[in-house]
Order: sequence, then structure tokens, then C-alpha cells
Amino acid sequence: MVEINDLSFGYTRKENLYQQFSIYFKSGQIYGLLGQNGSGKSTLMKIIAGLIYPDSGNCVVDGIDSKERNYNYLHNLYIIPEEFDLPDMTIASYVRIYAPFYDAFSKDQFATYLKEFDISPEEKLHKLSYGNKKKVLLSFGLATNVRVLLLDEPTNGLDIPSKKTLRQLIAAAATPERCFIISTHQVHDLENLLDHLVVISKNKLLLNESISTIAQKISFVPFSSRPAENETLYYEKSFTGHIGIVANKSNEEGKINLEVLFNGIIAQQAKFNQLFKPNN
Amino acid sequence: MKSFSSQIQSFSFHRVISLILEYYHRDKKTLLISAIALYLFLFCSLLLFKRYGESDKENDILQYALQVGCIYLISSILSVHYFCTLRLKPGNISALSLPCNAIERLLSAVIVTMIAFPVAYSLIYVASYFSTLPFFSSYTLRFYNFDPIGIGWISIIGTFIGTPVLFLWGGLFFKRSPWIKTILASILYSGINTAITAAVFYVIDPTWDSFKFLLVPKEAAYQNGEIASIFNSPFYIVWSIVLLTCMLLASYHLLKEKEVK
Repeated sequence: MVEINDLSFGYTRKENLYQQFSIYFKSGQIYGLLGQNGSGKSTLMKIIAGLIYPDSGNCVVDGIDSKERNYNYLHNLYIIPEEFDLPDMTIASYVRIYAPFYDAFSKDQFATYLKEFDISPEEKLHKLSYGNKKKVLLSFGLATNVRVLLLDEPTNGLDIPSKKTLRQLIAAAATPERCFIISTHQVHDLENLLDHLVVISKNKLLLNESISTIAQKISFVPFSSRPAENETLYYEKSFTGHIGIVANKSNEEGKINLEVLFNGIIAQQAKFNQLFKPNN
Repeated sequence: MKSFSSQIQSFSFHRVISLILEYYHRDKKTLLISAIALYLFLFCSLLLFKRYGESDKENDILQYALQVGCIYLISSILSVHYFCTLRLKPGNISALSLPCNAIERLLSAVIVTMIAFPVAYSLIYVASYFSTLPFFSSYTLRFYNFDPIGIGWISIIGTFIGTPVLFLWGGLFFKRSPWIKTILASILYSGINTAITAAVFYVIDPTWDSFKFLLVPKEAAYQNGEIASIFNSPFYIVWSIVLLTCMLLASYHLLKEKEVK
């Protein structure tokens, strides 16, 4: 569905954010895109959305190169950026003007999503708070029914009930034809929603595995005291003592602690690389 | 070329209309306030011209200057800001990811700046003219079909088309202060045009007088239509069309290559 081949890109000539970077996002999956600040998550999303062109390599969505950036490329793709600006009009006007650009846009779905977020379609966009504007944009994005939905920090600015609503809406909107790519630092917000985890660091793909595979290979164990170095792949302090990541010997899928996993991958890249090698 | 043909294949006039509506609704308040301000400005100007104009001839020239001046000024501002959402963060992500082709975006700009604006402007001008009638019933409406300074009205239309083409390009090319920078570019553009005209002149009359004539045209030259004959010569018209087409192609390329960085 989304194919990135040998991508090289840098904002300056001296420093390349991506060098020969390749990844494939398939349909029917909800991807979590994790990385530290400045690791290139938003840049990757902009490249997929055709907002930035690669210096070399390419990004292909459904067989169309992002460099084309024509209607055929864009009409099946919607990006909800972290920073956005909405025009000075009512929500109803916004839909009337922008919905015609998306063939599969559903006004009924949009109304339902707005209702779920407790927002009236008669409200004026510029009078809404950042969080409520984001809810409108999320509702619109989901209602476009595009095949590729890119969400950059979607839970930023949302209140706690809205985060739950968003999780429910995304889960309900996910179909085998659609692909959701969600970039976030708030991993707890989307913990039970993701099907696949991608962790990137500048130019490196640190992890690209399904949640199921991850759960089969590792488990999270609480320790009352500090564990020995060879006892875990990674450990860190928790409220009750320590929590460690260990190789899963039972093959039973346990619950994944995304925050600990992310910290572990960043701190112990070699160990996790070894564990998640294709033939391991 | 492949990219251009794919844009043509997926072209939809319906989306062009949607883009125009999107532009109108986004800037509705500014456009309406500007229209009211323009109406008041034209109304006051026409009143002052009639009150203080020494002769009908002088009044004609003032009306002409008002029309051309306003068209140039407003058209340039409108055109240079047409694609401002693509230039300004953070709205540029939503604007640039809107599903449409670069050619559709450009056509929507061409329709707004070269068709809708002159029509709207003419209506406002006529409305402000009629508003002055209760004060001066003998006031003669001078419109585009007159040419008091003898430039030739085909060239005037050329200016009305040339201004948006130039400023649309400027709005896309310059990231900061695009209006000022485009003015400077237009001086260069005029220089090139003058040079070409001078070259044509020189072919016809290879003396120093031809250049002098172009730089400081005598009033008689306007009166007897010599200036009009230059600006309306086939070569000048063809050259203008070529130049404007090149600028439109450059704008298309800039739209196509626009990035969010």
C-alpha cells in the first residue's frame, strides 16, 4: 500500500535525516510510528503525503509516486498534522466546501463522529479551542474514508474522555482496505489500538514488527529489586520497584508496555536487533 | 511531461469550481470588506474628479488613471495573495494536501484573477458611477472602451491579463514580501519588454531617435496613434503572449514543486 524505497532526504545538504531508508506499510493495519524528537516521524508523514519530495528514492502509494502529487495520489490520503490552521467558518460550511474533494466522504459518519466528540456542527471553527478544533479535524479525516490516514500526534490537546472516544472511532473505522499511520509520543493513549509498531531513530529503522510478534517474543516482568544485567534485555525503575523486558519463552502473548519497550529499544538497540532478526 | 499528462488525464472542471468556492469562503470577509472600501474610494474619487476636473478631457484622463491604477493595484494584491495558504505555516499542509492537480489550482487562480475580478471590479465601478449621478447628472461614464492617452486598448487588456500572471508567479516564487519583490521583478519585465520593443523599432528605423522616442515619447506620438501601433503590432502581441505563457508555465512548475518545509 505505502512503499518507501531507498529514501534519502535531508533539510540541509550537510545532514541527511534519511539515507537509503525503506519500509512498507500494508493495508488493514494500524501502525504506531514512534521515535524521539527530531527522529523524522513528521518528516516521514509529510513525505508520504507528498508534501516533501525525497532527494532520492521514492514513496509510492497504491502504485502512484508521491512526486506526481496529483488528484489520483491525494484523494486517497488524508493527513492530520500536529499544527494546523482552520479557516474562519462554521463546521457545516467547512464540510460543504472541503468534502467535495473526497469521493468517499460520508456526511453521516462525520455527524456521528462529531456527536461522539460532543461538538455541534453549527459552531464556528475559530471560536473552538485547540482540542475541539482537533476533534473536528479528526472527525473529518475519519469521515473522508481515504485509504491512507496519517495522524501526527492525534491525542495532543484532547481531554481524557476524548482520547478514549478517538481510540474507539479509529478501531471502528479500521477496515482491511485502510491503513492508519499514527505518530505519537503519548504511547499510553493508543496502547491497545495498534496492530504494528515502527520505531525509528535518525535514518535507522529500530523496530518494524506486528504487536502480535512482539508479544510472542518478549514479555514484561516486574522485579521487586534491581535485576541482574543478564537477566533482562532492558529494565527501568517503576513505582513498585523495577520493570524489565525479557525474552518470552512461553510463546504466550502478554500485554505490551509500549513506553518501556520504546525506552528499551532506544537504550539497547543491539539486543533488540538480535531478538527481532527475521530468522529469530 | 509524464506528470503533466497525468494531471491532464485526471483534470476536473468541477474541482476547479470547488477550489474557487474554497478560496471565496476562506477569504469571504476580507473580499467583502475590500469591495465596500473600493466602492467608497471610487465614489469619492469620481466626485472629486468631477468637482475639481478642469475640463472633460482632464476628467477622462483621471477616470482612466483611476480605472487602470485600481485594476493594477488590486489585481496585483489579489493575485500575489491567491496562493498565500501554500506559503504560510501551518495552513500550508492542509492546503497542499487538498486532492486536486496543480493545473486545477492554477486554472482556479486564472479564473478568479482574470475573469471574476475584472467583472466584479467593473460592477463596483459602474455602481459607484451611478451613485454620483444625483450629484452630477451630466457626468459621462468612461469605461474600458476609451483610450485618452493613445496606448491602444488591446494593450490595456494585455495589462489586465499580464498583471495577474506576473503576480501569481511572484506569489509562488517569493516566500517573503512577494508583492514588493514582484514589483521589482515587473520593472525588470517592463525593461525586457521595452528592450524588445526598442529592437523592433530599431529594425523599422535604425536610428538613435527610435530609442529616444520610446524612452520619452512625445505627446504627438500618442495623439496620432504611433504608440498604439507599436503596442498593437502583431510582433508585440505575439511576444506578450509568449512571455505570459512562459510565466504561467513557471507558476505551474512552482505549484507542482511546492513543498512544506
